[in-house]
Amino acid sequence: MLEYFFRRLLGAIPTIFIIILVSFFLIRLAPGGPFDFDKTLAPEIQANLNTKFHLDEPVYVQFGYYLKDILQGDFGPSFQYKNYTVTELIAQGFPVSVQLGLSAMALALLLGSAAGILAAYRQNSKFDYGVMTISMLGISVPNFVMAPILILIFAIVFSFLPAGGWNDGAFQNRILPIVTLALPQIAYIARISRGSMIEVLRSPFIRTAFSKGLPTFYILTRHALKPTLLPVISYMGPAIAGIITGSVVVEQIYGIPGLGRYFVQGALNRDYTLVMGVVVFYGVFIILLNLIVDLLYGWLDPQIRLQARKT
Amino acid sequence: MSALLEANNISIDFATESGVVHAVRDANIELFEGEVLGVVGESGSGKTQLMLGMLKLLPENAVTTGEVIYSDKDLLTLNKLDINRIRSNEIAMIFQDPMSSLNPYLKVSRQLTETLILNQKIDKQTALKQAIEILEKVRIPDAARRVHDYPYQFSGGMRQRIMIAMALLRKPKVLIADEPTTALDVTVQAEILALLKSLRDEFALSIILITHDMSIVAGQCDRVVIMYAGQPVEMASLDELFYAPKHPYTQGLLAAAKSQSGLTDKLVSIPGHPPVNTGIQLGCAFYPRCEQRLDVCQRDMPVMTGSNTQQQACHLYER
Repeated sequence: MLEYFFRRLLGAIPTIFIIILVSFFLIRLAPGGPFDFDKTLAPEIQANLNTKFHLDEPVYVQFGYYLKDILQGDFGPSFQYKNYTVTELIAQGFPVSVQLGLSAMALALLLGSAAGILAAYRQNSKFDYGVMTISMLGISVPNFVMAPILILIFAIVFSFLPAGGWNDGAFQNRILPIVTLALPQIAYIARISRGSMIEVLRSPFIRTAFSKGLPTFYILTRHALKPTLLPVISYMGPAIAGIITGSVVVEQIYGIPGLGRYFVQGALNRDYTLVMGVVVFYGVFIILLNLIVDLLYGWLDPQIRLQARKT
Repeated sequence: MSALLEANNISIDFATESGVVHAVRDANIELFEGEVLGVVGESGSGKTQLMLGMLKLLPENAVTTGEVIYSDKDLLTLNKLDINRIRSNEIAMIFQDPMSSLNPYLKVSRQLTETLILNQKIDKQTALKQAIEILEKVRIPDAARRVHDYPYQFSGGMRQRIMIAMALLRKPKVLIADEPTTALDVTVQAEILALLKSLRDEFALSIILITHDMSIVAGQCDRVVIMYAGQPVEMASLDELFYAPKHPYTQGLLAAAKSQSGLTDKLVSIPGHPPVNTGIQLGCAFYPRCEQRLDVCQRDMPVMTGSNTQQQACHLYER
């Protein structure tokens, strides 16, 4: 198991290298640079800055410097947020994004799979149709539409939740962003687990379980739940990554100091080191999550577990 | 002698997107204590559906009518709790494909002991001990260790033994075996059948054996029901069925079986295909394929007639 884990980590190195390579050159292809302000700087200052950050050297030399720094775990200083290193900014923003993302995911997993499983068990009932209709809405309404609607209803009309701001992570400030992030995930997970449950309920081993006279609730929870959740689990890896990295828009709307906001600001300001730092960080994070999902899969499915042990 | 299990006028209809399918039409079948009743028919003749219907195991789009009498109760009218008690302790069923009929995500130990613990309120330790004993009885080597394995760690034949063990562990009076050896190698098949036979005496089982293999019927059964298009067409003791088959379909099946086993040079088959079980059926379902058909067969549905030991639904034997 441990050997498998490390082998997968080694395999991720080329992927991360390609991420660094592509994003490094892409951001430099974008017009403008980090020190283009409304008011042009004096040429000497501009030249000084460029020399300090190696921007006057050929791009491949810059890439060499960057790789060297990254290998030492140094993402460099931010071009925009003076006195901050990129590492510091990530350390500040990421925990906020993670808290939001994981809460949203936990909520989605709980509500989504419960709704999906019940809908499958009562297939073609009113409850089933209701869940499917609502989840269709949840999937098709984008979060930049959902967020203003929620703000309108809960912050302005009923005014019992703040419209935005972080307020050092106060509970009522978290509710709307978490719900906004969770809604589409609830919908997806409900659909996945419903389809999966329907398939599992038709399988011969469930018929065997019923033929043994076991109570229905027991069969659903002990016999059907694990295989039903397998596709949900494999969806979870990319979904958690997506919800944490993709909270860019939601963080912007609610004014939350998460990593997504730095990402957007960094890209707009051509803050090369900040964008690069966040991209590399996200890349590693997504790879790790997928690895965790694979390990979870092994834990759920005994057959995969054994194969992993053999290799 | 009254029957141990008796199904009267069972009809099973499936509501499908392309209309109603009549899987079983007005079937009567009875199982006497201690006997092995063979239920024979080709794929789609409704033999499995009939058994599943009797235990209320069919999906929700199936409608089962009629009555299933077991110890003075009609199983079809029982509530969930009572039917679960019957399934758990009285009538056990084993299925065709041992590969997919065991839960791949649960250890064999759990699958064996769960009914004992839940339905019969036996404590975990005792249940596990009984599970190991029964695995030894169905000749799983090294049972005490292997009981903690997962199903995929066993071969097909072993899995079917586990299925059988799972049924016997509940000490049922009736065992319904749905083509228990179809998915297995011929040699394994023989072992499983021999095992069933020895266990039958030891556990005082009455068995319904569903199969389409005439050689299994000859080796295992005391009495046989032949099904065609959702209906029993002939019911007879083993000897009468093999030496004096009456229904033309039975005769055709036997001729085909004989030719398949190499007793004749030519491969004999019944021409045509079984009918699609939709719509209203006026005459005999076998009419289009029958070589001895009469005019009346197309108009009137034949009813079961005959002696105590052999009955058939065929106009040839009506007076």
